[in-house]
Amino acid sequence: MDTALDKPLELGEPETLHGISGSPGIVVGKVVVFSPLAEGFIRYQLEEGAASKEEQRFLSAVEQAEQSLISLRQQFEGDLADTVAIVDSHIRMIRDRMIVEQSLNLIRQKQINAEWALDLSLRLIKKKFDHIADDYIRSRFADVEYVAQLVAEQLTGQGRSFPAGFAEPVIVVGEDFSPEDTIKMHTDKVLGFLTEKGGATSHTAIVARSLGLPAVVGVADITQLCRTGDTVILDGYNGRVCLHPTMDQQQLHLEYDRQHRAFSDEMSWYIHLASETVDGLRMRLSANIEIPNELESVIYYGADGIGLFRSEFGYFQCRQLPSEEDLFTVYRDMVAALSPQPVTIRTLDVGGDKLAAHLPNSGLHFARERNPALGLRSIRFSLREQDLFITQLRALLRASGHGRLRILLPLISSLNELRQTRAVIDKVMEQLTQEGIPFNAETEIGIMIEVPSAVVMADTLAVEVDFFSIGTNDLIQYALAIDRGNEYVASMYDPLHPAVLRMINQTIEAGHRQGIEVSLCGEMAGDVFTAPVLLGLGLDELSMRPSAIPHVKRLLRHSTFGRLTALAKQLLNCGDSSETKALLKQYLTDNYPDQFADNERA
Amino acid sequence: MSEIIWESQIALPRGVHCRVAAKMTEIVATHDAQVQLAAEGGTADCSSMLEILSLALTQGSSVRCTATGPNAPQVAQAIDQLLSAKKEL
Repeated sequence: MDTALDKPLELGEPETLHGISGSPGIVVGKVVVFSPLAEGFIRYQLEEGAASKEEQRFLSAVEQAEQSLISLRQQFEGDLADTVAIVDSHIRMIRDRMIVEQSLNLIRQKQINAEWALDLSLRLIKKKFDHIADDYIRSRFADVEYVAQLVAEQLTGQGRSFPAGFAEPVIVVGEDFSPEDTIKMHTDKVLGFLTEKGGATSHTAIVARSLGLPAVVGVADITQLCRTGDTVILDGYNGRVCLHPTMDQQQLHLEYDRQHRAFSDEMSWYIHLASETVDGLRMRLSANIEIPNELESVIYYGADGIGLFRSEFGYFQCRQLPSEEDLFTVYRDMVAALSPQPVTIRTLDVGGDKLAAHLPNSGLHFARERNPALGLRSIRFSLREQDLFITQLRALLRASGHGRLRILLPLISSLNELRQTRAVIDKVMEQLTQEGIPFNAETEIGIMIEVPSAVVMADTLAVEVDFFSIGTNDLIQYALAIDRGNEYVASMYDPLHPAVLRMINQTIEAGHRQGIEVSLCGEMAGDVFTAPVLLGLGLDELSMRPSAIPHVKRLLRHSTFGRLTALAKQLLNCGDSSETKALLKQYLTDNYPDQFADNERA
Repeated sequence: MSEIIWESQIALPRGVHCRVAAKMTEIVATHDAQVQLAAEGGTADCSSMLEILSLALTQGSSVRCTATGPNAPQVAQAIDQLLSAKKEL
């Protein structure tokens, strides 16, 4: 593939841009810019004779996009006349010659790929629209962009335009990358991530951390400011990006990275030590993982098991839904590899819209969600699409005999929902028994505590489950009404808000009164700044990205449980997060001076 | 084959926006005729709603239309009626 990487570098002035640290590490490398048009969009010249194939690919993308609009329209038929009219005009627009003919001409004349041609067409249309004085008509360009986006999604959905063919590893730049995007990229060719949108807990950041790749997120206009082929320094420790760096700057940053890595080497001492305080209190430090390949780092970093395996990735890797056999193989291998340590697998935790492409009977409920975080997702989706859920449960239960597997149900918000889910599980167990397939009938079943209603009702929920796992990423989001992906409010997403700490405490107390284990598996578990509080609250297990385990273990091994509990008690009485942060900072500098004395965090 | 040339004054309060443009393309598509538009903002073929939109036909502006094809008279009438309507579509 002939990419723009081969073009000579254009020299510009060094310039430093600020964003948010998404994942630590420093890399220097060339960037590949994914245009905002669609994630996964890239420009390349076609091979000789490939144009007519490319035209076909473009046309079928238009057709599929049109079909998706038509089925969307059918859902609205009857009411919502305004919506139908808009969808109708989009249907008309998608076949417009300024989009279709123009793109086809560009593909043929310039011998470029369909995505590139579509993007060029869009720019030409934009030029025309920019001249329009009338605000209302000019703003209709948004509709043009929307339909182009639909076509682009169809094009990139085929997964061909991801950087599979890069000769050298690159830094990928885009608006934001969804987990599906990331999985489609060949991560061995990715040095780091740089995005326009998102906060420290955006998907890009989470995935980057789990891959151990540096990421800087929330850099305004970055897709415009740098071009494919530019060299940048990506500083994931400080959330900084340096465009057009001088050789000296590059050297300096690499040296800084080397020092950080030396610190990490010291961390490796802790990998083989037990997770316990000075006074001998043990706590499980386990791993959160996204893909089975991470098993290696789970073992490498000395995790005490897997506290959270996000099982959704198996569902996005191929165009087809995974079979029971596929899932079973993955689960069994993982459980067997870590036995006797526990492996906690969370059942499917996505919105239905994400899987719509795979589902044959995707009916009404896959219309665009107005409010996805509050919509048909997670356990609600599983209960609605029970065939899908049953397949996963069968695979899980079949794997349960090969080690210690724990099933984790996400987003439970009421006792009724829990009972409905358990009824499905019971049914599956019955089926398996009848079929004579072996499984562990005592498989532990737990729930995520991530909806505020579950915190309030934790005492009643605790009676009917085997363990709790507090999912702070979503809990904080729901409790504080903050969308962590929204760059305007992301700074208010605050793990140290006293309300959050009290909710965690309440859940732990409710669980322990019933004698069940309580774990916590949000980002805050792996943050050495927030981990001491969690250790002090008396959790049985903290689950985090594998590479954070030695850091938290080091902290744990330098602590006494008495002090940690005293700290937690103090923080629970704070009225505001400025107080909790000040207290915590004081505690850290007093107790771990070597690590925190000159660290200006918080 | 007949050819009809006329000039329409845009009376629509919000001018020729998406829905109107979509309607124009629909008229042309269902009547076996071609319509060319010429206005201050350039020229457009009535089969493309984006070309129509990019003429930025606001209320009070005028557009010169040329209809060709077997059904030119009917198309001309339908389009003129649409453009000079005083009420929003």
